[in-house]
Amino acid sequence: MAFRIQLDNVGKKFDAFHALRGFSETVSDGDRISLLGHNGAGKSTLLNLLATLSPPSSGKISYEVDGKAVDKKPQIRDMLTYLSHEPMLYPDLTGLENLNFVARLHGIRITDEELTALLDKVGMRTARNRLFRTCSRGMQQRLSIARALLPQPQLLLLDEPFSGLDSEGIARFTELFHASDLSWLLVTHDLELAWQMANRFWILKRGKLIHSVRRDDLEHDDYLGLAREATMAGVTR
Amino acid sequence: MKGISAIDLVLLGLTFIVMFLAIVWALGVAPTEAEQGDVQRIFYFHLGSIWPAFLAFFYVLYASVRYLMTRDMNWDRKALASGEVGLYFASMVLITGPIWAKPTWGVWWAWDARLTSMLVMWFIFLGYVLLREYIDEDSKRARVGSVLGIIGASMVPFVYMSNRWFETQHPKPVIAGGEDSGIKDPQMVWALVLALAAFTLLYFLLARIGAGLFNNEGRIKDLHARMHLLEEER
Amino acid sequence: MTPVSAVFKAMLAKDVRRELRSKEIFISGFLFSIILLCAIYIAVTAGNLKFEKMGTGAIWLCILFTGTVSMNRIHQSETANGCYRGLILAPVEGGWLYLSKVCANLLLLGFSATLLVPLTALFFQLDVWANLPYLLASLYLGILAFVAVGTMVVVITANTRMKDVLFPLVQLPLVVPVLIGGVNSTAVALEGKAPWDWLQMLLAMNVVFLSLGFLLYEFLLEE
Repeated sequence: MAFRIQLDNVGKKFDAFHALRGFSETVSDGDRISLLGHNGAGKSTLLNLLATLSPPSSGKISYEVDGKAVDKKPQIRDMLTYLSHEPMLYPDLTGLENLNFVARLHGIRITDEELTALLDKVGMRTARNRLFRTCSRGMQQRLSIARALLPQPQLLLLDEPFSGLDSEGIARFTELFHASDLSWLLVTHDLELAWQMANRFWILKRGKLIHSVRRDDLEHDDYLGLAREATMAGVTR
Repeated sequence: MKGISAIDLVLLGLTFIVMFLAIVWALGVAPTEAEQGDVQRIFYFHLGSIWPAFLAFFYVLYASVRYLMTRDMNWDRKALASGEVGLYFASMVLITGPIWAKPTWGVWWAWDARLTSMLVMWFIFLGYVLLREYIDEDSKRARVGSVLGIIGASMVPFVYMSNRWFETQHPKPVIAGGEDSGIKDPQMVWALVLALAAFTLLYFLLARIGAGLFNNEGRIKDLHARMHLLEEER
Repeated sequence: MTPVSAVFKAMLAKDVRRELRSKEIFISGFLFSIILLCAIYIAVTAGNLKFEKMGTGAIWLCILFTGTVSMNRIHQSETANGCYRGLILAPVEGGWLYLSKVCANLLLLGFSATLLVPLTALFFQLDVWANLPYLLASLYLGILAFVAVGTMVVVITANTRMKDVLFPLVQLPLVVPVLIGGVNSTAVALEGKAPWDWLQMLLAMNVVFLSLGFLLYEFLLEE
């Protein structure tokens, strides 16, 4: 399965504020993109637009799977998952029950053993029968990652996916993600993590894409220069 | 820039003339009703306001559907303007009703099907207007407001039907002087027709002005947005 | 896309399990009703009215008020942790999501109401056996209509800054026809007669409200 998302001059306006403007890019299979920018640069807005959480104010986003255009929201939502700072898991359900609900909601038939295997993968077997609200912040985040991986998406939209994780956790998931055939769009303020996780970089400044570069064309030092400049822009504003 | 359009001016003039005639007929030309006396004259304004209130709420339904189909903010502004004006007319009905009821029925408020229905309808549209006050972002306000506008307006027939049924199931002591009584004199009919026409014109005028106002607000917001952009580019 | 039956199963299983664990609706629905019944008895008797005549009204007042509190509570739990966003992002048509949610809400509120009936019968000396099938039909059709409207309205008002205040203010006027239909239907059923015309009205309202919800819910699934 191959997918392609084409953003054509996309803009998003909240009242008088242009959160994003004139954004034209393509995301396709194998893209692992780090999205960098200062606070309020439009990173989360872009993720929300791609996730179909809100429609663009101008421009067009077109989705394609295996060369065929996909325009119904449920079908688009089938190809991607969103992992944000909110875990999207119910406090009163256990880890297993939560994942079971997500699986059913996404129309996936899956046994408890397979779900337990998934919990093992994120190192959270202990949370299997534990109420979600009694789990620690880091455990919740790990379960949240399991939730995002469960529907086997083609594209992951990651908004600070590793916040609250210990260094072992970050190392584990960086490895896990790299070993998969997933594509993703990552928003993080950790410049080093962004460098490790990506083969492309989009750098946003005040709602505009100012750099779109491939990792192959970039030295680490140049990357740091670009990224620092972009993240500083918000402060001096 | 747009000023006042010719249509608005014509509408304004027409409303003034017809409203003037309506007042003259209702207060002067139409004869005094035999049983109720001069108090009955408020009826022309009472009934005159009911019709535009319904018209307004029906238009909210129409414009809300159009908004959800097109996502064109103009439709939402028209819906909101119409809803607000409709709420004023409904308030007029609720205020003039008791004033008329006290001398004729002897009580300020009777749980008459028409009164109850109007009160419930007033609340439904108060909810519609209030809701928008408490949503911060434009497109969300329009989207969510339109959905509520459609639900609210669709509920109105049920409000009327259920209240009517309720009343027929529970007969009450007959209250003297129904609304239809006493309208026999042709001058009374004229006063009523003029009042209906005047308030309908007033509804159109106010709704147009309201929508225009919201439009200008929207334009100012857009200009602000563009100004921000220009500042950024510099 | 997820098959419709799977959505219903998932939603019902999840909501029932959550309720069994937290007992939110049992508390906000049933326990709250008991004290409300006491209040109604006191208020009615103070006005020199025969409290036995108040039974039907008491049931519906409880359904209306505790229903509003319960619906608010259900949606608050749904939005905690951003779970509602999870629902939005599921590959499911908005209409089916709405209907599955209505089903789950009907189950939870209906259960509270079922417990309420014998209690009201006891307190207000009602003869519930007079025409039990019609009594239950009146109650459940009424609750279904209440839930059909509430499931939409609670999401609508959740978008505002004053959701806790606005939900009852918007919801209650909208369900006045449901109240009129429900309370009359119940009253007729308690007299041992068949309230056909009122049941038909409730049925008609359900058809209209559920269709509206099915068509419009999609528009509420945005942020």
